[in-house]
Amino acid sequence: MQSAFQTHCQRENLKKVRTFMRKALEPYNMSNQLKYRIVLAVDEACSNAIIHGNNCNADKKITVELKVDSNRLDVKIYDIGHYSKEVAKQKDPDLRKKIAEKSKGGLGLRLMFAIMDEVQFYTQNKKNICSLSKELN
Amino acid sequence: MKKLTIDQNTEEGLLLLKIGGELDASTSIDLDGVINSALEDNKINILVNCKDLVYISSAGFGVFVSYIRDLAARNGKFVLYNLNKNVYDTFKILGLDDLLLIAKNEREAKSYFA
Repeated sequence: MQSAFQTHCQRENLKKVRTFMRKALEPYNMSNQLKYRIVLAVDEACSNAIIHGNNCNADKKITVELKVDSNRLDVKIYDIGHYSKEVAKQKDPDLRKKIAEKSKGGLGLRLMFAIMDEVQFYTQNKKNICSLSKELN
Repeated sequence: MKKLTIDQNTEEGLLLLKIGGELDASTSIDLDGVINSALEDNKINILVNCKDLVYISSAGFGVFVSYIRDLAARNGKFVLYNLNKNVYDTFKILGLDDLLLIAKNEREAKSYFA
């Protein structure tokens, strides 16, 4: 099964992304905890795209594409923003440093990498793609 | 859709925040404003009742993390309690165990300020 959702790059649209993901995952026989975690990982990826990639520019859009088969889930988030390379380096942030710097962000990648089996960032046809994959038992 | 709700009360020198709904990169801005105002009012001992909090992303926990230093410098702190299973799961994945105090219930949470 494949489904997709598109929305403008505004923070308040994150709840729409979560609603799309929750509905799309409803038919599948996964634990509620796994569904919650997948929704969370996708929320984090979309937050990065909306806030860091597109600076919350409502003229720009992100597209979330979900594909599920019997033993694998793939989510791809597409956008055309510009990313600092520093963002991709925050897989394992130093929490004590974040406290010292009074930083509010930079924790999302840790969640994405912890929850999903594969997290990849690449560019294809001038689009940024964040690819999240999870093996399903 | 579940909006974020934040109820505030003071009790014996403690600020009690009851948060409900969904705390994400959008709604965490509201929480940030409430905590920032609390510090300006010198409310530095903060209990956070998460009983009705059904969802939190890293941005939500990020707000708490960003104030740890200011609170500690003034001998204050946060204690979060009544976290549901999924919210606690996110807290554990982020590895915030050594940085934020978590209590099972209000009674235990208040004991951190005794």
